[in-house]
Amino acid sequence: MPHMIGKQLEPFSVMGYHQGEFKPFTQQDLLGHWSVVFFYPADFTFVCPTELKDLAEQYQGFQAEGCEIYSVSEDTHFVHKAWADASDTIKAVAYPMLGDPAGALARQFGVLLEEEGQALRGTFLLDPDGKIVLYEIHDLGIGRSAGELLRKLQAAKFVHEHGDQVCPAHWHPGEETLTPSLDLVGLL
Amino acid sequence: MPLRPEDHPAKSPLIAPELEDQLKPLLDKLSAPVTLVCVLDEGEKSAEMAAFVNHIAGLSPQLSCKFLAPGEDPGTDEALDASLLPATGIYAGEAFGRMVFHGVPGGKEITGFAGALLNAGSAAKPLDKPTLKDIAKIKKPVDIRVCVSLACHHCAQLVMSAQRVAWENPLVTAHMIDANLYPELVAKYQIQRVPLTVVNGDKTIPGGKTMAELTTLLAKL
Repeated sequence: MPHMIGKQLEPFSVMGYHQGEFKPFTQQDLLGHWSVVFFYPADFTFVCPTELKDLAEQYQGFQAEGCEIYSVSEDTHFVHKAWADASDTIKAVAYPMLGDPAGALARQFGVLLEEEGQALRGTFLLDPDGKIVLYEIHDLGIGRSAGELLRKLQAAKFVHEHGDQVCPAHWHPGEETLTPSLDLVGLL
Repeated sequence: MPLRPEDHPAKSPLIAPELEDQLKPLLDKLSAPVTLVCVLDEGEKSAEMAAFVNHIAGLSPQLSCKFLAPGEDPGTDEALDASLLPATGIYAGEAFGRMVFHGVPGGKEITGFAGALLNAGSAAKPLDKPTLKDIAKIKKPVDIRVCVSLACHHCAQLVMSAQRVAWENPLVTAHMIDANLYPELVAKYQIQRVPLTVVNGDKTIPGGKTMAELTTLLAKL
């Protein structure tokens, strides 16, 4: 199965619902800054609002990192508005909600369930050039964590800015000293 | 904490026979006396370091070690920074070599530790002239603290570079800090990735750097 890391965002054109207005969104809108493209199966479902709420609550953190979030479902932008009108949770969402009724975006990212007309729970992080640097795709019932996504965004930005000459640190107080290994002996 | 090396185990479980076999030919190259000066407290890591240093010191007649309690010698406390214990300074004979290890240099950091011993024992690989020239361009006092995790090979390479710079330039001191032992440093500098190098207490440099990149950054200070 081919992976999607490094895949370039392709041209698209959809309508979205953003802060009370309907707006067109294209490939160009996702370039020049970090982007999260966040697919979920459908509006008016139970798990989705919890995920979208989680993202909404962390939205300032993403913005502080220069990242825009785009949630996407296979509903129209009109349905997004209806959902926002009906739900205080969705009303609080400040990031653009894209409608993808033709499935073009979900198909491009490989998350479209053609028969159901729904998207899998796929999250994609794109760098400012529109290249996918990380993604995760869950089966429909498995929720995602915005906090963990923010941590990954920060790590991806770090690598983008400083190269890969770095190791993630996982601090475990009281951990035993690692057995010495002189595998860099050639440097001596 | 007993302060005579002979009151501590002569062997450390961290140094397996295979590692000893790798270290011995390197330490056989030492052509000058090297002293490992440790400031140790009552903690578990200090006891671990005492055995580690004893074991290493036993691998070459050029090596010796000395253990101090915090406060016993204020000058050494200051030179090694005894606020982060255990602290081990590498000395060329009696002269401070400006290379310090905070914590136990296990994992990849054994390479940097061995490198520091080779530096102080006049047995390190010679540097090329352009590199020596770059190191000499550092004209102000520089305190380099490389915060590491023991599994990070980028860290070990940077520690080696920093300590070589310190050895070559008397204005520079280089510390390896196993950040896992010092949560207050992790919190202060928000360390989520290593290496993170702190220069003169405030400037932070993330990620691995080549010797050339490091000397360029330090010369600009």
